Amino acid sequence: MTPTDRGGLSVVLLLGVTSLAWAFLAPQPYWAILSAAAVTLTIRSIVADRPYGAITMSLAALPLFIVPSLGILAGPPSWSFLAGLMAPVLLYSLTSMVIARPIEEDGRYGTGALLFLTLLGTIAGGTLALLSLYYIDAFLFSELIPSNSDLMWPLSLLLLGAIATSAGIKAAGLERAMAGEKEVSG
Amino acid sequence: MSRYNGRPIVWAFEISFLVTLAASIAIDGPYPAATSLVGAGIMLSPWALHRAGILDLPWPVTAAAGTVMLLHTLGILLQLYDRLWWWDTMTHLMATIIIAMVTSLALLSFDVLAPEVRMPLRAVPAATLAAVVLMGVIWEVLEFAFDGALGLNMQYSLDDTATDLTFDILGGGLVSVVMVPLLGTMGRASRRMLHQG
Repeated sequence: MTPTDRGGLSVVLLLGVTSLAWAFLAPQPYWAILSAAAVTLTIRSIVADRPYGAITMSLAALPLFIVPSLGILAGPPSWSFLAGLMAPVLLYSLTSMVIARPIEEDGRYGTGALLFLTLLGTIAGGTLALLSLYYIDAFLFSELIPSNSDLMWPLSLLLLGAIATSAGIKAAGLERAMAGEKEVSG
Repeated sequence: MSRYNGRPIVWAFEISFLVTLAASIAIDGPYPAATSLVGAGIMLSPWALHRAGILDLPWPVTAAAGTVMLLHTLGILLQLYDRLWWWDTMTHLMATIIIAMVTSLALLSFDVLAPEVRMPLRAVPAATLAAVVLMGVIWEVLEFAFDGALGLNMQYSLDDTATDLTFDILGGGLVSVVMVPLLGTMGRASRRMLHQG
């Protein structure tokens, strides 16, 4: 792992921990789950000494920075919307961290499969995160998802955002960069 | 080109949807009428896929898909979704299992249909489950959008939406688990389907 890789991972880890702390205080449980996943995957990468590409790191860092900072500036009414809007970008990056490298190393997958599986993983991951909040409510009598709209707005933004992110990655030709190819990730 | 072996099934369901369409018009129900038309349209797809030489869906899959669409239409027409608490769960689970089966066959055929994708067999179960979740999410988002735009009540409550999504995941998961030991056989079957098309 190069010093640049270590620096990138440290920045994402710092942003992830800050974002997680903000999400707990806000409270924004959906964002807390995603921030916790980002922290976990970054620590795993540091421990296993396996860096990700610069594009993947940037895509993870951007929402982890934007949501808490803009949230603090804009105030509580914007928090759920901000989290819902940026969740697909963060989830896309996290899904890449999980599946892109095995896909790249396998060598039999094309860029189409990479894009397709990352899109599927992004939506499945976000849906499972939201459903887990519903079941926490059911078992602990909490109100993390109080109404149908509180489930459906983030789900709608997740679907549209994941499709838009995939389209953006494809349009920019960054599918391979998400898997951390040397010439792109630097 | 050979005749599609599921033609009688397609015809039977087309007639069934004409009957539900007529009943919907008789009771002045635009929602069940629209669902009947959608059902009739969807049931033409196995025949259209055969005609286009893309895929020959096995007739049991065509029959199962038609049955679920008909149960859904009858549920709306006869208000069974309101009268029977388990109707929604049953149709969701059945639909999910069928969608998962068709999706897995499509994924297993990807390397023939789209050579640039090259998806290995071991990725298919997880991709099937994720694809089923994606379709479930699309369905719920469409219902949410129609409820908001047209003042309908397709999504009854938070519990209803969460239960639907849970059964989508269970149905997709069930097919994904069952398919693991059958991947080789399914891969060969999907190729045979393509060659028959």
